[in-house]
Amino acid sequence: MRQTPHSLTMHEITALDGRGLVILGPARERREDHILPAHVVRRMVQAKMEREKIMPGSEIPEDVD
Amino acid sequence: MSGEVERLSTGVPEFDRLIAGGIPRGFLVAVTGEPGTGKTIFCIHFIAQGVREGDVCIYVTTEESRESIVRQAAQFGIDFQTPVKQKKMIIIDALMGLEDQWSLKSLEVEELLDKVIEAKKALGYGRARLVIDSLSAFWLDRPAMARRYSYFVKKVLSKWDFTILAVSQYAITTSDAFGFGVEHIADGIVRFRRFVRNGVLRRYVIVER
Repeated sequence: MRQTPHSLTMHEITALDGRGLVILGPARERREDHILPAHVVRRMVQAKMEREKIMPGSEIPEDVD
Repeated sequence: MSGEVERLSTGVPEFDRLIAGGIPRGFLVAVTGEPGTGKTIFCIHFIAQGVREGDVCIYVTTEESRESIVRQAAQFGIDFQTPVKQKKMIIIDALMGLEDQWSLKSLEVEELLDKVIEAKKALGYGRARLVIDSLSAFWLDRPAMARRYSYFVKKVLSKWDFTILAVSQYAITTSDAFGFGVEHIADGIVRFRRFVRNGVLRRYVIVER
């Protein structure tokens, strides 16, 4: 928010009858905030390997140890 | 010119603490998020706080009827019926297509602005709060116009001493906005989010700008 040193933290909220919006506190850090789901990572790695397989010149020469 | 910023409480004290005490007077803040994340409740608090502080209060509803907003407020312990009767606030109904003075017949930005200004004149001059829930409803079928309309709304209403919460809806399937517009011209962005974790719906809020 302009002209405002605002919080950059996500907060968990809830709505209570008779009271309305209540902020429960800062959201706990979750694994999902930092990494993609495992099945997505697997597919990305597979796609990268496929790409490298078909790249011209990507074969390892036989005389290299 | 004083460097001190006058801030309006949102009516949610814990949220006010996240934004240094409140929303600066005259700001247009975009309230974004998917359906069911808490945007309308937040807006109800903002208007209720305005009523308590003697501000001119106008609530435009495009997603629910006027009666539904009054009922929802009552569910959270907030009385909107009395200030409406006492002409301290006006709820402009843009959903039901009613013929009364405080209803919109179509979702046209020009009609919205005319009605909001008419309401402000009826309630009196001075510090005012406006909620438009939602502003994105006015360009659902014209998303390319979102930015132009948002700018137009901000430009016109800035002359009328409004501090504005403009709700911008996100699609539940893609989390995409219906045409980015409000976010571009907003002085602040409050984003509501939802996640289901272990079968439980959890809701969050973050001040993105």
